[in-house]
Amino acid sequence: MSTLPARSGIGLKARHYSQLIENPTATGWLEVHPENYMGAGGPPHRYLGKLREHYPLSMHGVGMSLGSAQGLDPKHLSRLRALVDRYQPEQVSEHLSWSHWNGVFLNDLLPMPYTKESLAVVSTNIDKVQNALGRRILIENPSTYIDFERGDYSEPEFFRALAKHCDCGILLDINNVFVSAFNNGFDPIEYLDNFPLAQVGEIHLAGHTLTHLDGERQIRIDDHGSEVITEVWQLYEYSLSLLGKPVATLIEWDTKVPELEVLLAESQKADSYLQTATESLRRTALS
Amino acid sequence: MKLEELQESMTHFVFNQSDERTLRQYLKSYHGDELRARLSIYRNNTYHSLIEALKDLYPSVVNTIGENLFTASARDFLSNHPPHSAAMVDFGHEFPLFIRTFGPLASLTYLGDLAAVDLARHLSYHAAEQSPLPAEAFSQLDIAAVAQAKIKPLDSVHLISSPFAIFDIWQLAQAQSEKKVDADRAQHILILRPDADVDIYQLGAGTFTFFQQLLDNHTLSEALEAALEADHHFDSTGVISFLIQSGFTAQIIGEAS
Repeated sequence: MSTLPARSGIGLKARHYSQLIENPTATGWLEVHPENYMGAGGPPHRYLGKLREHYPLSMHGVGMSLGSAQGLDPKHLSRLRALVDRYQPEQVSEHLSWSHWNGVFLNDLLPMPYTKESLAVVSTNIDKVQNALGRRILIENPSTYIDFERGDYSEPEFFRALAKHCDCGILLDINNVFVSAFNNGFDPIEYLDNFPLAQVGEIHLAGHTLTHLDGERQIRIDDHGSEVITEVWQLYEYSLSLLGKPVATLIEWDTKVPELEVLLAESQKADSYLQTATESLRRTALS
Repeated sequence: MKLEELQESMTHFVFNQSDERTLRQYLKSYHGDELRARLSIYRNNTYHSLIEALKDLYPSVVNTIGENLFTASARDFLSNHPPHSAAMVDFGHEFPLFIRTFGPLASLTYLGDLAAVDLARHLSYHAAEQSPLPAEAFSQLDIAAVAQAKIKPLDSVHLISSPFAIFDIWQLAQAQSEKKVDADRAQHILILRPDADVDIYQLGAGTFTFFQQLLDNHTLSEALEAALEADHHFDSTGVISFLIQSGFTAQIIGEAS
């Protein structure tokens, strides 16, 4: 099975279908939310089928609810399996979060405490997905707005344990690290220093909004509706230096989706960081 | 801490069935209103994303009643009909029924049927890919045998019959026109997707009966007969030509060749 190229890609949006078909080398690879392609047919499949002929593809799920104590929705899993069989993506990923309880679906990525119970729940669910798909998947670190009272692990420790238990990969979302660090008061550098980076097979970069919470307090909302901010680019550069290898990097932009050129400019910026990191590694290796 | 209990409490909070007090035990101790403000982000994200999805699904209803009323009806809808699937193609199908009973819009009696048109177009758009039987395939058939045949329609076919002028109202909504129509006239609609685009046609009473009979698994001759009974001005020749040109047919069943 081929892997995603170690360069930048963009999230595929309906308004850019035609432009990307006309220019099949506009970016390194494409990522889709499989939940948007779970209809039987129609133009979304026609476009994706056409684009798949030219671009490496990543399927990034937002609805599997790996953190659900009640387990997975078997219908959702079989739909994902059908899509993976049909399009044979280079990579499949999901989130460390939950989104359904008792058949009610919240359409958001909700956080979970990092306890032994959570580790057992998520590990069982990841095993089921990996067995059903017959492949390793990547799990993404969440952006969060609340913190839990007690936990048995820090978030990096939880990911380390998950990767060990399930032999899954990790999708490191650097914007999420920055957003959660601000919202929950931890140091993003320390987080990255402790993160199991050897398992990281993809990086996400996105924009977010700084907004008023209550009183004097502010909060960062992970809305994927703007350019990546300088501090997140700096964390990206730091992560690449720790990783010691270039990693496939996605520009996510899901709300207020701009012209394709804006996304491609962000994607080229990520490529230039990847290029610099590669050159610096080469110099280190030669010296 | 039981993870399932936390998830139950959080789901109730997000869908406005409880306040933040049930969640306090699981979370860090936040001052004053901070806990509620933080948790409300999840409630707002859920409602905002689902209301946006409903707006995409029911554009004619949004254009007819405006963003504010639509958002109010959508909030009420979501509290009563939270989604049961992560696949967006499954979401919001109960909205046409719901909006018929939504108090503030009760005077707009045609809204439920207008929402049904939007939903039918959405389902047609996402229906399985099928090529309609080409016109040439019909010209090679034996007329007498075809009369006894049944027509299997494309999966994307939807028929809607309304006591209101639903086609005119739908057209005005597309144009975002303020023009008034006489709503109290029955109209019928055929929706289907023979290729990439969803097509929508207004049908006369006879033509509607004809297609309804085909969907109900009657033969072509039975459908023609029922259509003539429903509408004495029904044009049998015209409707066969429309049947072929619209791309309605996936397959002819039982045609002796």
